[in-house]
Amino acid sequence: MNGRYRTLFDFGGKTVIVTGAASGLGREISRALADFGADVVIADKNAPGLRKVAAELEPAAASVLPCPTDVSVPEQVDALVSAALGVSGRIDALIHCAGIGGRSPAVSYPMELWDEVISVNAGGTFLCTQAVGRVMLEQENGGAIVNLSSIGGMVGKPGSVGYQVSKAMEIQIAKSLGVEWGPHGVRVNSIAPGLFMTETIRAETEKEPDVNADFMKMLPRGRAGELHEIVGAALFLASDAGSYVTGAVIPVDGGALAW
Amino acid sequence: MAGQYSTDLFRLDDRVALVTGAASGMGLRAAYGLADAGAHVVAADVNSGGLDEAVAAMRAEGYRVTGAVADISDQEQVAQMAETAESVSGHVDVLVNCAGIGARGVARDYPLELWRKVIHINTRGSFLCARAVAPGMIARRKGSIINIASCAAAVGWPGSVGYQVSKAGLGQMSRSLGVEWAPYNVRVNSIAPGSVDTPQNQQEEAREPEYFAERLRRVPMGRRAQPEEVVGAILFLASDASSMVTGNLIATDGGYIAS
Repeated sequence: MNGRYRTLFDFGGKTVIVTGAASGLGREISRALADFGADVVIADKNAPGLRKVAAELEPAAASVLPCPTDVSVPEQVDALVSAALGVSGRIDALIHCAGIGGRSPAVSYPMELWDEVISVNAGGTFLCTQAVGRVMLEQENGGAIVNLSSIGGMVGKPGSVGYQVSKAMEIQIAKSLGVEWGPHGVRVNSIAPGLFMTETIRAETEKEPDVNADFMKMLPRGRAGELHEIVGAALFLASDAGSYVTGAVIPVDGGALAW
Repeated sequence: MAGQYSTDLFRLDDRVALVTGAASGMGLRAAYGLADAGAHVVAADVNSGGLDEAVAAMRAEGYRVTGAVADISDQEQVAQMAETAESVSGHVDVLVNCAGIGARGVARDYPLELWRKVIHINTRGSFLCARAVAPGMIARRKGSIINIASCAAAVGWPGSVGYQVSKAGLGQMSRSLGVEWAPYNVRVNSIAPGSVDTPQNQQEEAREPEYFAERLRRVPMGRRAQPEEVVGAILFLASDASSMVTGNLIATDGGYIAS
């Protein structure tokens, strides 16, 4: 028995793709994976931002490979997967954080915004999950896929119906594929963050100071999440520590859902 | 920011973790896992013979562990158990409520004594334990309580209504206490294991092989969990890795609830 649990969260020798890695939660999770010794493949639409993150991760990570990618374009997702396979010949985990917001009152919600947010968030999640899943289903020991959804995909908040529908879809992707690929050792789970002070949320709050005021009042912990508070759940689900967890949603929300 | 994270994120050095039901099965695995993470474990169980053996085995392997014989359905014994845990170094940082019993029986003939007993031990007993350690946690503004519930807190199975109601109650207790104690940085969450290979479950399966085979057929991952596979979720919830997670239920069920 002695010491068998000490390596539960290890990422040494593991190749992990993180999308949406140039900023916010994706960047923070990439930092953690680098510190945990993973070979990190980082993807984002924002190429200059991605290069900056890559330079930052270099000293800690086993290796870093930046791959500028628009996750809503199938060819680009395929290219990302090929590049990742070049690192070690396998992909142990995908942590899919890429996504966009989409605020607007429902009565006048522009259909272009609806289409875009669903295409990028839900479509992008599916494309990445499917492309990586194809690799994982064929490789020994399967793999782990984690997508970052939102508690906005489980409860309603006023003013961003398209976004919330896209997030509910992401959660269902985790459930459906978690079940479909469970027999083959490919785990698919979702993390549902509550309010985190990312650049996006900060910008939103500056534009509409009251937008999150009510939300803040609903947080039992009385504060928004710090970026570093997302990484534990991601590392748990992506590592061997989560070996029997699939099709699950873990809210990291300071208790907002339970409230 | 590189180097901010290390596997220390999941460490529990200098912390005291109280585990009930620690003489066997999941509780014993939890005790080993928490000890591997660096905690001083206070192992509690009603079965004093089994507990002595478990504590002796852990000590022989060099772990810091203290035994506490306690029937969690008895308030005085729970108070004494909490006192023993506090006396280790003046603080209890983690409580894992793992003690519990099964209680199969068809609903039509479900004996009311069995109904009362299973709720008395599984739900009320866990509440007593949580309340016994909470004052110290609240005073120190630090603590994590983990209730081992069951998939049966979220879905129904035929043939054990009392057990399932007791576990659903435990799930709700985690939400209620999670919200109520969030302002004091005391987090309360539950874990919902599916079918786990424990001695207790093996006995039940031997009695009703067909029923349990059918349940296993419905597990997307197609196998039972090893008791070890609940440890990852426990270490995640016990450590600072989950600092923003409270009032939640994490399923370690091979995809059962999602399906």
